[in-house]
Amino acid sequence: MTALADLDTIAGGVASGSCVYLGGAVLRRKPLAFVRALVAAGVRDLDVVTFTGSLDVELLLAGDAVRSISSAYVGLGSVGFAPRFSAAARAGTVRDVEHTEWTLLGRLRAAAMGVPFLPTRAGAGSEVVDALGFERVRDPYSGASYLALPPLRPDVAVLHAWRASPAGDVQLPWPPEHLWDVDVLAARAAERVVVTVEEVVPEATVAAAPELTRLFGFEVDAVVETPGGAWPTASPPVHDTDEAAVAAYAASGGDLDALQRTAAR
Amino acid sequence: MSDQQLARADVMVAVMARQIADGDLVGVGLGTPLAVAAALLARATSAPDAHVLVGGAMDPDADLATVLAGSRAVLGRTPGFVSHLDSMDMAERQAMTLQFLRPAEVDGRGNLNTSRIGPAAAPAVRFPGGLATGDVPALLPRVVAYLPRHRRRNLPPRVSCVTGAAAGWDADRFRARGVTLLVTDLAVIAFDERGATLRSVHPGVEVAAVLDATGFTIAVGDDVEVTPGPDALERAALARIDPDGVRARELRARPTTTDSDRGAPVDERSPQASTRSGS
Repeated sequence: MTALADLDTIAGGVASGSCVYLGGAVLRRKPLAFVRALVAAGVRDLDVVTFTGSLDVELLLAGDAVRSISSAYVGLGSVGFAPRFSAAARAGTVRDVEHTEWTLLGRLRAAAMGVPFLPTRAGAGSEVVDALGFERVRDPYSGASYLALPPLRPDVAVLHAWRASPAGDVQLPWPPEHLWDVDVLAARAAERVVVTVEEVVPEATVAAAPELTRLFGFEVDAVVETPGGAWPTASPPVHDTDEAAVAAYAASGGDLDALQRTAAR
Repeated sequence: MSDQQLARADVMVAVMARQIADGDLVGVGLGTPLAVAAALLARATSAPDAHVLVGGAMDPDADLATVLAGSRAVLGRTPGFVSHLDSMDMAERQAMTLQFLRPAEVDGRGNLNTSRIGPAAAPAVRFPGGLATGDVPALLPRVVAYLPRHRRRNLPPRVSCVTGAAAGWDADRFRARGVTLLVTDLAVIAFDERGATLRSVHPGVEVAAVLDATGFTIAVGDDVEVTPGPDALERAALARIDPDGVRARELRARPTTTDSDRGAPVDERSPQASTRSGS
């Protein structure tokens, strides 16, 4: 059942020590308003999982809210390195669990499919994959050996999306954003799902364009109307990435003031 | 950009395009303009029946800058979009046949590093991460690596971390051969079970200069050729596909950052796998 909710209440309900999946891809669709609310609520020791992280990871590190980061990429895209993540990984102040696309998404797929593990050929010989410590499994039909990825079921997945109905039917824009489906996968893998949206719209608006619906109310626990909640990352179709803000943040080496929305923005 | 950078980029793009054959499905990422340019060039010239999946868009019929701008820009110029999970399935079942990867380091066996320099617990440099670099060498029939700047520190005897492994696993069974070719701004290097072999040097580049800029041992045969640059047809196609020279972006000198001050072996633009998002 979906509840229209208040950002601070929902964020404050995330227990310290939880495993939190953060949606979006690099500098697009990052649920940054929610991340700020997590920090403001004093949530600590999070096991953060995100397919490709950027300012979400930076803000959580700045807020001292992170115990571990599991990701296949943390950076600022063409802008460069993520300064706080780079520093934390070098200093060993956070548990840096480097994944590949297949290991992270394969684990989420196993959870979403409800199967005990997912076999794959990927990652053979990779030290990064070996370090994750997953078992291998013998195919009973061919005898071949495969990596066996166990399910990963985050306690909560947090996504930022375009719009949703009060019932929790979530719509994404057309044409599809690259990697939109990874957000949906993570939602279906997680125990609880929170979606911040640019706009809550009537059920009739959703029903008028059902081809845009990517998640349904039964699988969404809370919708929070949060216009601008992804800024300065892109929130299609409303606004693109604020490259100037991201570049200013990178150039300052991680100054949070660069991520404050000013009248000029 | 300088004319020299564009000329070097064009040789790289031409070599990479010639790795693509009719029937291939090539997966390329929006963060790798050289690879996108190569795929568009191949479809425009030598491999019209190859297919290319760029940032989720199938066979975009548009110029490079438009293609790199993402899904909204190519609307009306693509038969459709493939979800990321579907594209991963295409790779796993080898419907996708080729990818281009840009690592931070490549060693003499063809191992790729996009992870870090130094020990995992306290790396001197932690790169943003390699996305599918650890995965696809064991998945796809062919993987081609490229380096926009051929320098000794990017080509060590042994990579600091094996993110993506050279062949040597149960590869024959799965028809995956790891990285078989490396294209740099100086040369083309092939990898097989014996190690690295210098295939060709680009126009105006001496063999000795390539060896000097390489940290691992390269076998040099008697038949080292000069890499053929783009021919007239390819040059005309490149002028159409990329009139503004966006393809040379990866060869540009970059500003210094903390990491490169500390001796990072790559530029600040992160090593790229093929599937990363646009911005």
